Parts: sequence; structure tokens; C-alpha cells
Amino acid sequence: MRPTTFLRIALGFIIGGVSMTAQAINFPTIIGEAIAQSVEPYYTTGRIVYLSGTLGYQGSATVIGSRSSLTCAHVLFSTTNGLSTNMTFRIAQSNHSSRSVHSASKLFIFSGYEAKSAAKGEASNAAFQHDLGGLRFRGTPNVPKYASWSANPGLLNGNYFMMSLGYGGALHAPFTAGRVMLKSSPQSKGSFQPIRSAYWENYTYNIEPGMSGGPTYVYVGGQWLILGINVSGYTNYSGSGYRVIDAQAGNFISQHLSL
Amino acid sequence: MLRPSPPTGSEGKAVVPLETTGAEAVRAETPEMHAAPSAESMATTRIEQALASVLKTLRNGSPDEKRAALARLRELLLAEDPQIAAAAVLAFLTAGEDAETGMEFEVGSSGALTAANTLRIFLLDLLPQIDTEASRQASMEALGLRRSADEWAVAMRNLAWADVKTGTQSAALLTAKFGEMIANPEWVNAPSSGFLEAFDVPVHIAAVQVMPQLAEFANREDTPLQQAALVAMDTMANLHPLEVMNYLNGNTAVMAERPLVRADYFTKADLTDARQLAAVETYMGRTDVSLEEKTKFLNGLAAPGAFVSDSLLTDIPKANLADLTRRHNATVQAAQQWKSSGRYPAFEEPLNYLIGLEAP
Repeated sequence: MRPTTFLRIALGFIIGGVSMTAQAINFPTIIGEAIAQSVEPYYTTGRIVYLSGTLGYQGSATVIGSRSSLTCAHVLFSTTNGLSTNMTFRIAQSNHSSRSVHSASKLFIFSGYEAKSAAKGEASNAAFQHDLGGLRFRGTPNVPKYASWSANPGLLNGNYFMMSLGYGGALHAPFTAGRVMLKSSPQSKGSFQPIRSAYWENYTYNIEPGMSGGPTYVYVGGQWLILGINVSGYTNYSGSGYRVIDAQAGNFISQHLSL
Repeated sequence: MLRPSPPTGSEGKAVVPLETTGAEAVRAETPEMHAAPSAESMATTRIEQALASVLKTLRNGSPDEKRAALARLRELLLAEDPQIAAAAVLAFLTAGEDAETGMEFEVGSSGALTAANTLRIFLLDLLPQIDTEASRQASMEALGLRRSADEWAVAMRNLAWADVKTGTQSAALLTAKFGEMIANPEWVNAPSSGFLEAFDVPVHIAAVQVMPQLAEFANREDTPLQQAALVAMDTMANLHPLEVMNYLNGNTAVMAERPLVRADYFTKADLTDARQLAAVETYMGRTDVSLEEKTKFLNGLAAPGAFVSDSLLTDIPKANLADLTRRHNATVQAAQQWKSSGRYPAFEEPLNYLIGLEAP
């Protein structure tokens, strides 16, 4: 079994030694400021910077309501440090420019007593299948429209154009300090595979640490729909993992992130 | 002469026409001559037969057949007279027969199970919808046995539901039973889904006295117990902040090994409540709490968190703007007061952070 890992990244931490061109797998590319801040659906995704304990980290999130965004659970909570604090959400950040900047007012972790997130270690499929969360933020986001989502993981079948977005703080960090939006897409017809319940993987493209919590979109019927959340990657960059939006996740979003 | 119509259900039976046979023969064959079974006994028979049939299917059927059999049984039990159905289910549970369903124990959005792993658990789960008193009685009986933690989980939920419905008082019993459950080494060493879900019981009844045991589980790294305990304590702090803060202030060793998580429990405080504000100030004044933990607490006041899931008993309220604004205003006011009074000089940075927050 290949080692998987959470894509949370400590700020300033840089992974080196992996060629982004020599692999038979797609790697993330940088989205320029004009596209990141002006084109749907890019402008709804942002960079989250936060503290877990006393250390700074970054992750990603997407605006899905007037004060709500969707992310993954592991940017919001750790069993050692508890809930993350001092969250700053920079929507469509590109270097030092963002559409708007917000702090959080409430964190929601979609995870219960039986979530097993610690059952087999954090970096486990059991944990990833529950790795979903959301944050309510302060103020009104400066976005033309909110991102749409669908509880229909069946659309991750390789028949539609797909892409994952987020703020990578590893491979690109030496050049971007993790402050630019990255995009990564599966190779043609490269489809997702269910691994455990709502945790799915794809072996035709990578996402990198810091993209945790970012959206995985599919373009269907002229509409961009979030079908999953970036949650994991392989330490040797041979694939990526997603917490798909299923019926339970859809209920969570409707109940707690609908504003 | 017209023949009498056959009674319902007798089609195809060899009923002998009255006018063509002798009187003795007619007496032996005519249904009206027997004492007619009561509707009650017929219903009981139907349920008993259905239970026997489901048992057979669960032992030999395919997964689809098992699901269908349970669905039919649910439909029948909810359609029959509640008292008759409850009595039949109670008798079945008392007899102790059981079979696995092939499904995993799974809690749904209302606290009812969306899947039960055994027939007994399926029935225990369904009983509250049929008859509250029967549910209470069956649950008490289940808690007198040690068949499985999953049964205990549903039984404890049933007692808590009965309390809400009928005004019975089961909190002390539930606390004791939860204590027994987490002291059972067999259940603790191989915690089942129901065992873990039962951590919602002390949360529901604000049994803060179990926090030392929960804190001990929280230190068992990378185990299901750790997750369940952390979620339980966080949820208890969300739903019963004053009780949890007072308990932690009075029991300083609890969660001392995980101080940054303990800080989270104080971030749930509603500072519009003078008693909760006092509990927070007691915490801030504690000499056993580190600067790092207090800083985490102050920063966390800006955005408290909550674990959300389908649970047996509790529900995390939705965040609404009015409530968030009210709490925000109280937090900023407290921070301003703490800063202006010079009460916490070591925490100027987090206090400034709170004071500078935009309204929700």
C-alpha cells in the first residue's frame, strides 16, 4: 500500500526533489491573477491561513454561501492541538492581492463519535472518508456568485472535464510562497475510484500540500459543480485523494453551511 | 337456495354445503361452529410468524432478502395495534433469540438507526415508535443483560427518549450504565460502532462527572476511543458550556495532558451569561493553566467549533446570524473590558485580535 498523507502544510515547509515534468501523471499548474480573480469558478476558491497550536498552516476553501465556505476537516481540527484558530480566508488570492479577506466566526467539523478519524492514524482512508468541514466567516465575500455543489459522486466518471483547485504550499512554494492558486486535472478519461465509502482516489493527477480543502469541480451541462474536496496525496506524488460530496455531506452543507 | 358465501380466507377449502350433508359433518367443517380467534390473537400470531420468518431469512437469505424482510417487518409492526405489536416484540426480546442482519450499526439524522446489525437491535430501535412504555421496559431488560454494547447504546437512547416523552428520570441510571459500559474491558478493547455512538448519552444528560474517563480515552492515541471521547467532550462543552467549564475549573487535572484541546471547551462560552463569563474569568485566573493554553482560548473565542454528525441523542444547533452577532458583541465587550482594566497584561495581542474582529 502506498503511503498517503494529509495535505495540510506547515507554512514555509518545502518539499523538494520531485520533478514536476518527469512523471507520467499530471501536476498542478499556476493560475494567473486575472483568471483566479475574474473567471468562474476560480474566484470562489481562497487560501486559508491558520494556527494549529502555535504553528502556522495553510489550506484552501471555497465560498458556497454568503458567509459560508467548504473545506476539509483536517484544516479545522487536530487531535493534539484541537480546533484551529486565527483563521484568515483570502478569496481568490494571487500573491498579495485578493478579492476579499475574512476571518472565521464558526467552524464545523463533519465528524462524529464513530468517525474513526483516529482509528488507524490520521492519514488513513477511514479518516479521509470523514474529512469534511466548513467555516462561517465574517463579512460578505466579494464574489459575483457562489460555488455550486452536487451530491452526485457518480459524475466523477471521467466523462466530464474535471479540475481541482487550491493553494499549494509545497512544490510551488519556493517560487510562490504558497500564495497563488493552483489547478490540477486528471489525464484524459482518468476517472476516480471509490476507496472507502466517501473517500475516492485518482492516479492520473496530483494535488499538493496546501490544496487541502480546495474544491474538485466537474463541468456538467454548462455548470461548474463541486463534487469533492481535496484531502490527501501520496508522499511520492503518485495520486491524489478526495472526500466526495455524498448525500450525508450534502445534508451537512444544507444544515450548517447554507447561509 | 343460495349457498352461503365462504368466510374470508376460506376460498378453495372443502366446505360442505349444508343441505347436502348430515348435521355432524357440517359441525366438523363449518367455521362458525368454532370459537372464533380474537383479532388480538390473530395479530399476535401474524407478528410471531413474521418474526420467525425474518429470523429464518436473516440466517439463510441474501443481503437483499434480509433488507426486504426487515422492511416488511417494520411495516407490519407499525401497522398493527401498538399494544399488541409491543407485547409481541417484548416477548420475542425476552426469549433471547437473535440473528445478525449483515449490516453495520448506523445512526440516522433523527437518532434512529438507518441500519441495525442484529434483529434484536432492529426491534429495540423500532420499539419507541410503537409504544414508549414497552420501549422503556425492553431497554431496562437489555441493560440488565450484557449481550452487546450496541444493544446498550440503543437501550440508553430509548430511556433518554422516554424521559423526554413521559417525564421519567433516567439520568442517574444512564450515567451508571455508561460507566459500566466503559468499564467493560471486552467492549473497550474492541469498541463497536454502538459502543462509540453511546458516548452521546453522557453528552445528552450533561454527565460531566464522566469527563475523567473521557479524558483518559482522549489520550489513547490513534484509537477509535480517542475520537469518540474528543467529540463527546467537545459536544458536551457546546451544549452544556457552564457545567463543563465549572467541572474543569474544579478538577484541574482533567485534560491537563491535552491543554490546547481543553482550551477549546472554554471557547464555547456565551459571555452574555454572567455565570459563563465568571467561569471563563476563573479559568483565565488559574495558575495551572499555561500562557499558551490561555492564548489558544482567547484566539478560539473568535471562532468556536463544533463536531456535526448524526448522533443518537444530541444535535448541534445551526448557527444563525443573530446568535453569532450577540455572542460576538459579548466577546468584544469582554475583551475590551479585560484590556482596559489591565487584568490580563500578558494577553494584549489576542485581546486586540478579538477587539478588532469584524461582526459576523
